[in-house]
Amino acid sequence: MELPKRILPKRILIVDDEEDIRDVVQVALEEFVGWQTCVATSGLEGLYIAQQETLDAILLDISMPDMDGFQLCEALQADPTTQLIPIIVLTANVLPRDHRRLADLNVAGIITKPFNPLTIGQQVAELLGWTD
Amino acid sequence: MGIPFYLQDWSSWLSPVVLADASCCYPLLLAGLLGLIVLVVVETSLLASIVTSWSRRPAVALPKPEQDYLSDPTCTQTQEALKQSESFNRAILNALPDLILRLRADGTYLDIKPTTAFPTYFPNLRVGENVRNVLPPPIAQQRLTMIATALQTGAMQVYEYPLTVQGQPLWQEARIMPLNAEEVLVVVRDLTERKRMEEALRQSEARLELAQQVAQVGYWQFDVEQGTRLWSELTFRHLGLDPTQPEPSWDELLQIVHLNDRATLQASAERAITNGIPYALDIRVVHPDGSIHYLEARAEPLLNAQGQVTQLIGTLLDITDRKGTEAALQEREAMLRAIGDNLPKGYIYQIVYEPGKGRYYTYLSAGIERLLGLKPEAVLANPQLMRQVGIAEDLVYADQVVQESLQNLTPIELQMRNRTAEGQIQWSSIRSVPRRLPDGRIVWDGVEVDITELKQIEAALRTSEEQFRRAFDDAPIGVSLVLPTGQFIKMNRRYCELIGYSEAELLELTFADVTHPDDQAADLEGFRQLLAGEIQAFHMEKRYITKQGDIVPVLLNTAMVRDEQGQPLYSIGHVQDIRERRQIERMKDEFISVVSHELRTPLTSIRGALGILESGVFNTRSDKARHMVQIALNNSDRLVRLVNDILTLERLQSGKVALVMESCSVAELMKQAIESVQALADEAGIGLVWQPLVAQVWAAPDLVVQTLTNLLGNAIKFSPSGGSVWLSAEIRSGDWRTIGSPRGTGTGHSNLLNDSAPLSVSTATSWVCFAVQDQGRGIPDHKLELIFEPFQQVDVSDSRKKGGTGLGLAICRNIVQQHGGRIWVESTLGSGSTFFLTLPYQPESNNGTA
Repeated sequence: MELPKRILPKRILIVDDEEDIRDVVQVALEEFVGWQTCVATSGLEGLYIAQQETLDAILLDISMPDMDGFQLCEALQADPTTQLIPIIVLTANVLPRDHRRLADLNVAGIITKPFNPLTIGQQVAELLGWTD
Repeated sequence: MGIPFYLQDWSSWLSPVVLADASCCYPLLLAGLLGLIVLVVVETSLLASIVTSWSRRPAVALPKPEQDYLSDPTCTQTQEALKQSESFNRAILNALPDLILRLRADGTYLDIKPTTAFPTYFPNLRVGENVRNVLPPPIAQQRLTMIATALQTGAMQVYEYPLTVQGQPLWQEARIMPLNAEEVLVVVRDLTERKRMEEALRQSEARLELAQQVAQVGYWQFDVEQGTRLWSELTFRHLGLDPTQPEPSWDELLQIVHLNDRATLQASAERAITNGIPYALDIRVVHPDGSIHYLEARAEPLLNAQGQVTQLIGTLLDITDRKGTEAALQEREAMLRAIGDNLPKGYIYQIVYEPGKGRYYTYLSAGIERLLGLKPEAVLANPQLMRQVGIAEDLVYADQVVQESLQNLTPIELQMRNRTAEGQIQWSSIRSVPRRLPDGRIVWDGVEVDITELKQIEAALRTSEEQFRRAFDDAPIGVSLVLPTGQFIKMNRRYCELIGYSEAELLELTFADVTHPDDQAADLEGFRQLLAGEIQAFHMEKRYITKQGDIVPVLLNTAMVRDEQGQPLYSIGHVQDIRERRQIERMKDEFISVVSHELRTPLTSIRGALGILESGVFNTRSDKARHMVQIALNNSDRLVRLVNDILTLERLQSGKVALVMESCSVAELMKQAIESVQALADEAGIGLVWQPLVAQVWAAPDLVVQTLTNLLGNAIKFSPSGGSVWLSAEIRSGDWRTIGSPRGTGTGHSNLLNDSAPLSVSTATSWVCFAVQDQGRGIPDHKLELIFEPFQQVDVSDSRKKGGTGLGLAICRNIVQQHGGRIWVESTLGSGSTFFLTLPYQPESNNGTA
């Protein structure tokens, strides 16, 4: 495996209603790129944490009950305290019609599920320009 | 002065009565031209003797002849002879119709010999009187002049003159002969009758000529003995010859006659001359210009006393026109007969109505036998035969039409049915035009033709048109006809419904008027290409804007209908409302999207967990590694369930699951379902409460158990530990649509159980209604219907935690629906939900019979 470029230490919020997926993403980011992570199990929880914590990025699931990824995205961008946090969508919605709506979101990037846990950190870093 | 003896004699001959009646006698004297000529001949010699005898006499004093003769004793014999001669002369003179006068040169009458045959018109006429006092002045003057001329020249003067006496026009002739130097003899003859005859003859000849001219009769004479011919002008003309030329010879004449008619004419002419047999022939002659003329040639021989033919008198009449007319008439009759006899299934006829005698046929062409199986002669003899083949009700109508025609001379035009010999109904079209004859009879010339086939075609056409009209009107898609101008000319009901306009409103519009502005350009371009023939058909998904302002997406298929010359008549457009299709497509897309998402979600966990394990990062941390293995395992199971459920649902929806139906015990079904979830309930600390119903349902038992199990499983999963789940069943009657009234909403479970005793109901509309009741958190109202759709769990993550696939209720609904039952839920948030499902109830009596 190609050695990853040097990646700066970051703090990432993972918002997903699927516990197993949250666990896998957490492990991948912490173990393979050494970033700090925090998790939210719903959109509302994610908004709360984003407003409370200092974050370098948010990895955001779309399909969630109550407040889904789209709504959270709008809420984050509407809130001055969170609007500068880069958002990367992590979604299982991969059909073209799903992407048309995603394209309207002002997000830093989209990573589709399933993802490779060994490289997801690298992908995020590249999307956000965190590589040297 | 004494009266000459013969004048005395004349006086005695002429009694006053005779004089008065003389006018009646003189026509006898003139019997014709020949008679006149004879008279003139006799008269001339007689006059000569008279003149001779008078000339010997003295001019003034006439001696007494008697004395002269008697006093001459030496001449007794001579005297006797003379006496006889004079007597003879007197008799002749008396027989003459003429007025004989002796006048002096100055016009004085010296002698007057009146005549029985000559009227005395002038009362002053007597001896010693002068012509000036007797005759009208112009006549008198002329007389004196002529006397003078006669005396001067010594020659007889003859002249004719008209005069009017007592209103009568007269013609007289005067002959004036000098007797001596002083006297003249005047013989006056009445020419009135002769002139009248001449005039009559002239007029008669003129009339004959005129008649010949009018009748175009040429007249000819042939003198057999002399071999001469005398032809009238028309005879020349009929033969195409110049009337100013002399008559041709017989041989020349024969050359003019048509070759085929020469022998006949020759033979007829010879028979006429030799045997005195008249002839009348129609012959053809060839005119110099080559045209052929038909002549009717007649000849009549004139015989002499010995019975020999002396002359042939004949006529020629040009009958070319008549021949032409005759030929045309024959031609027309033949044509009529041919038409009548050859009418394909039809005939022509003539009917006569005769007052007092009724109607009868006078002509029927042969076709009647082919058409009606009746012989023409039979119908001519008995017109009633026609009524035997006619259909009674049609005959009634036909009689009305005929009666009207009889009264008003209106043409007959009707269609009626006959029954053929084979018993089939045959349709006839009958047309005839009446005309009234001078004798009061009315004649209809008509034709009857078979129109059975036409009627059948008509009927087929009507059916076809009706079918088309229904197909058009009742078509489930909109159909519209549009002119090349874009204007609507016809549309069906569906089209009107689709666009929201009435037909009358649409007829005022063009298709562009109801087309979405964004689609107009493309639609018009397609229409243009159609019109131009660049494309045969045009398809387009377009949007209409309804009268109400709604946008309706449709699929338009249109083609141009053209006339024989290829000119566009109108376009026909089929318009399919694709809102439903769009909806289905959206749902399909949605489903695929959701399925994709639902499949990817467990795969993401599996892929992530396995990737982490494979990296070896947890090689030294076994608890972490075990957690990853557990994630992979759980999600694998979930994936399997999901795939199974998707397949089950798809098979149910597409009807690929054949329901093996049988009579099932409701209690047994309930028992199996309870047993299959007992372990789950025990594990969750949930109490299962159920009350078996003794009844039979017609159902596929496995699928019903699966459904009940699913509902019970959900109830257990969403009930708090320590709670209860109830399963009950009851028999309900009536339409299941009304069974589903929200009786259980918010009323708790006891209500249902208390009412669960079997009901006495009619079997036709009876159902077994199962109820699964829980004490869960309840379902919001807006989700009550939605939860039966795929992947529409109330709470996705919660459902997944409980191992749900999001398809369970969708599968349940499909199974129940395929049993002809219904599934629904009643719920109170915070108190719990009750799922109901109905299955057809099978009464005891029917057990095992189905």
